[in-house]
Amino acid sequence: MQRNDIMRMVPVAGVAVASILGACLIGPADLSAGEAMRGLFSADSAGVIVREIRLPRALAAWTAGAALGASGAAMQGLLRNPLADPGVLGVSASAALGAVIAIYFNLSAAASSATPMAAILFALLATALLYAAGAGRLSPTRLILAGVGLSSLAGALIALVMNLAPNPFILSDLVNWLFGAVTNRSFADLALTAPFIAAGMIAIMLAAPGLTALSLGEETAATLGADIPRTRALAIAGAALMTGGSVALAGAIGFVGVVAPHLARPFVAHDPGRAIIPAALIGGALLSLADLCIRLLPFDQELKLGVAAALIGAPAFIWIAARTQRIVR
Amino acid sequence: MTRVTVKSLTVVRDGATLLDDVGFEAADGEFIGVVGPNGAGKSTLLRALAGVEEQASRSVFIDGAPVAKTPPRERAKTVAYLPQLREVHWSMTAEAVVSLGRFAYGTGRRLGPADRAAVDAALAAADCESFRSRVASTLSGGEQARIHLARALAAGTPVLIADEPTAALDLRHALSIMKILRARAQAGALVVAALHDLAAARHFCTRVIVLAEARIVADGAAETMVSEEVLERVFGVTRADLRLSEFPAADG
Repeated sequence: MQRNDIMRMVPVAGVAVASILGACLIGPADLSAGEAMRGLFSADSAGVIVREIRLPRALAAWTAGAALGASGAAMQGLLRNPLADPGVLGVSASAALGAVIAIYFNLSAAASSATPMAAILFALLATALLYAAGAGRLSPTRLILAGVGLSSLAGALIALVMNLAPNPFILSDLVNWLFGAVTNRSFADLALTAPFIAAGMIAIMLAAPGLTALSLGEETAATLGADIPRTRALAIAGAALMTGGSVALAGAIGFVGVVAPHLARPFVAHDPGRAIIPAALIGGALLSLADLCIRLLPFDQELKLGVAAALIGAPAFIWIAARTQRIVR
Repeated sequence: MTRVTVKSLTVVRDGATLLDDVGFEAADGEFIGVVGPNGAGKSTLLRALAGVEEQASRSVFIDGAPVAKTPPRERAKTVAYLPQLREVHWSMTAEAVVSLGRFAYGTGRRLGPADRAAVDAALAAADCESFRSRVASTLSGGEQARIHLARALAAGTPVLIADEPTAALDLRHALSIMKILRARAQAGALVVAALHDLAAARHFCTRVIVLAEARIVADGAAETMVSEEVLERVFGVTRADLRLSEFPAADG
């Protein structure tokens, strides 16, 4: 980030803060705006509602979106592919599989954090598997192929678990979780996933200069002085940690990770290394806005966050794909 | 004083011998043209010199240090490499691409005054100033070639490796690039370029290495290396094949 990058991101950060504050004002409990704002600091029932229900939900949406934005930017930079997303390596599908298994066996009865923990565990397992398959040395195309394989395997196993669901209640739990949502998230959930997301962000930031050099291709980047194996290892590990954390926090949410980096790039002269923090800020703002929208929509059945994100994101994705002349090189 | 030593360099990939026991020494001030037919091993040799050919790690030395074992950042301050395949992903400007030539200095992203000066000088030397703020991928082939050359020049390294720097360029820009490379050598750098234009190699280079079927078949002063004998033996082409006399004279 250069100083003028930071200045240009101020409006984006403003949108995120506004939508988080806005999310604290809205909800089924009948609180006035003033009561809700006071509730951020007070100890009465308004305080409980705002601080323990609305604020964690809003922060979870922002954090998951930011993690998806940053890891999407890292994957696009690493693979030099504008259509890459955080799930391109199969880590998000694997994390979803972990959560689905935890729900199927009703592990959350034993420990309330079992589902997010299983998601993170499976994300880490998938990453370990990628490294065992030689991810540190693979070319972008081979890496994408490995990711497609891993994604399909995880997808098949998720379908299998759903197929074997013994009763409609478990099935509906599974489906609800797979749609992605941040309802009923607590600060405990945030505390569980934040370390992984933070560690992932640090890894990605360490990879950022290498991602910039990779704009000229791997071989040239190496001769420019970038340590390509290290860049690759940091970007993959960082994206995996952030994606795993985000899936654990909010379930499977698509498109934010693809779209946010594209919106971020014009702010930073299309430098993939400098795009990471703006992509995180934009991803966070997008997902908190989406969560705010679904609460304002007058449906009896609240729209799931993942559904809303896909409804907004898929057309944006098509627009990006249509605008991109050279998709893969 | 920079000295590059290549000792019995052999590269085998997928059963094919790309380089077979290649060896030579080179020092600063030389402008070496590497010539030879397609598939002779020119690019592999240049990749080895640039340190990106792993199998060459024990065979190529710059001032005694094995080039492929040198940490990337240190190596980038010694050798600049202009590959044959010049990619620019994302919509980066010409100036941003050239600035990447200074990646190894400082943080790689924040340019100091010395880096700025080097970038400006390289842009000027490669005649890129008129389109420095345009997006690189929208430029013509010749303009892109010059940007990448400027990027390699901006590094200010004592060794400059260029793989077919004049490919896809019109005569005027091909000439200007050869002049830039020669000037670089005259200023004290070692320049090694793979070339297909034998006349240019003969005119601009101080020394020519002829590669054929993965081996060095001739190595010496440019004037003596580019000869009818080499044309016939290495390229299988005779003066008659070239039919140079068939170019119409100016008066018809």
